[in-house]
Amino acid sequence: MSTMKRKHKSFVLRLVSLVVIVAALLTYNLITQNRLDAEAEARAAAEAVTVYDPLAGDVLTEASDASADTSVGAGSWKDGTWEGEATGYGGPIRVSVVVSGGKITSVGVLSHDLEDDAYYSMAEAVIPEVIDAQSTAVDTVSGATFSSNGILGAVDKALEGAVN
Amino acid sequence: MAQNLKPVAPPKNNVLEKWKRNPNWEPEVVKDYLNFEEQYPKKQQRQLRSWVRTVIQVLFFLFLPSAYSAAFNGVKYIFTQVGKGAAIQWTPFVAILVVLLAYTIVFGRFFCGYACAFGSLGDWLFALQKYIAKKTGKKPKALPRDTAKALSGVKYVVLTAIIVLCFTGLYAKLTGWNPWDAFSMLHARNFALGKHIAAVVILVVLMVGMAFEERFFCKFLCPMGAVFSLMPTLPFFSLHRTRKDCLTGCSACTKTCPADLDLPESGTLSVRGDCFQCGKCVGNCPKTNIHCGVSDRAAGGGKRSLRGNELWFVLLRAAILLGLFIWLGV
Repeated sequence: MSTMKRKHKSFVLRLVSLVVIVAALLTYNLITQNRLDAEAEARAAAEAVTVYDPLAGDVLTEASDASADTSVGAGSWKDGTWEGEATGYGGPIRVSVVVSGGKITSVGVLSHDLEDDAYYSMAEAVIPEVIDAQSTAVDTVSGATFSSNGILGAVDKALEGAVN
Repeated sequence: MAQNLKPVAPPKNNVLEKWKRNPNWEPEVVKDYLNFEEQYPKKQQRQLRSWVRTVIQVLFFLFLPSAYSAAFNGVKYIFTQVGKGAAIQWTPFVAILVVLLAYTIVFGRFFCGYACAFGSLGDWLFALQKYIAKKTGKKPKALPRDTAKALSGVKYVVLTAIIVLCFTGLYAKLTGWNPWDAFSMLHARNFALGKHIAAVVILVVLMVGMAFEERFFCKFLCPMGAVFSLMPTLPFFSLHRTRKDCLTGCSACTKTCPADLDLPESGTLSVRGDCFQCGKCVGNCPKTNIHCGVSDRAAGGGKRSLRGNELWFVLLRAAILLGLFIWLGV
C-alpha cells in the first residue's frame, strides 16, 4: 500500500493542486460576479433615486450636465456610411461606420481575412465600446492589441471622411 | 488514396506480389501501410517517422502558429482579472487554454512535440546547426546534464514572474518586450518592428539558444510548458518502460531524448511532465521496450502493446488536435 502511494504520489499531488486551483478560480468568479451584480443594482437604485428626487435640485442639473458631456460627439460627423481601413495583426481590416444624427450608430467589419480568428473575436469587443463612448479613445483588448488597434484605426480612418 | 501513400512508403516486393494475387488490392495497401512497423527495417521506420513529424510540424507552423500564445494569453488574462478584482469571462483565450490543458491531461504534451510553432522553430534551428556541424566537423560542446536539469527549473520562475506581473497590473505596461509578439509579427510578414526592438533582441538570443541546445526554449524557459508540465497527465498514452527488460547499462532512450528524460516504470501513474511526446526514444530502444501506459505489456501481459509512435496513433492525435483548434477558431 505504501509503495502504491509512493508510485502515484506525484500524480495525486498534481491532480489535487489542479482541482484546488480550478475550485479557487470558480469560487472567486462566483463571489466577484455576485459583488459586481450587487454593485450594479445599487448604482441603478441610486441613480433612480437621484433623478426622481425633486428636492435634489443640483444633483439633477449635474446629471443633465453629464449627459451633455457624453453627447459632445453628436453632430460632429456627417450622416452616412463611411469606410476605412487599417492594419491589424496580419493584414488590413476594413470597417464601415454608420453615422446617423451625427452619432456613430453601428460599426461593421467588412473584411479581416488575415487576422487570427481567436484574436479577432476577442478584439471585436472594442466595437460596442466605440459606440458607447462615441470615440475611438477606448482601451484595447489585452492580449489582442494588434487586432484591436486595427479595428480602432480603421474606424478612425472611416470617420476622417465623415468630419463636418 | 493508395496512390498518395505509395511515395511515402514504397512497397517491398512481397507486398507487390500480394497485390498481384489479390484483385481487391486497395484495402490491402492501406493495411500494409498501417502494418508498416512490422514490414520495414528500423532505420527506414525512423526516417519515415521523422518525416511525418516534420510534415505535421510544418502544417501547424504555417496554418496555426498562434495556438501557443492564445492559450498563454488565457493564463495571463485569468491572473490579470483576479488582480483587478474583475470577473473571469469565458473568452476564446480561456477556451483554448482549457481545451489544450484537457488535451494534455489525456495525451501528454503532444502539442509541444508536434504543433507548437516555437517548438518547431527550435527543432529546425537545431537540425540546421547539427547539419552545419557535420559539414564543418566542428561539434559544439553539449550542455552538461546537471546544468540542463537545473536550468529546466527556470521556466517555473518565468511563469511565476509573468503571473505576478499580470496580477499587479504591471504586465500591461511592459510593451515591446514579448519575443512572441516579435515572432508572430514576423510570421504575419508585418515588419513594423520599431516598437519591439527589445523583443527582437530577445527573440534572436532565444533562437541562438535553440540552435545549440535541442528544445532550449521549451525545456528551460517556456511558461506555457511550465503549466503543461504541472498537469496531472494520465498514464494511458504517455511513455513508460519496463526497466528490468532493458539491456544492462543501456540508456539509449535518455541519450536520444531532447529533454534528457529517464522514463518512468511501466504500471505506475508516474509521467514525465517534461516529455514532449516526440516518440524518438520508442524507435531508438534496442529492445522495443518503451510503450504507452495502456498496453498489455505494461501490465506484464501479452505482446500486444501501444508503443506510442505508431503512424496511425501519431496521425490520430494530430487530427484530434487539429479538430479542436478548428472548433475553437484558433
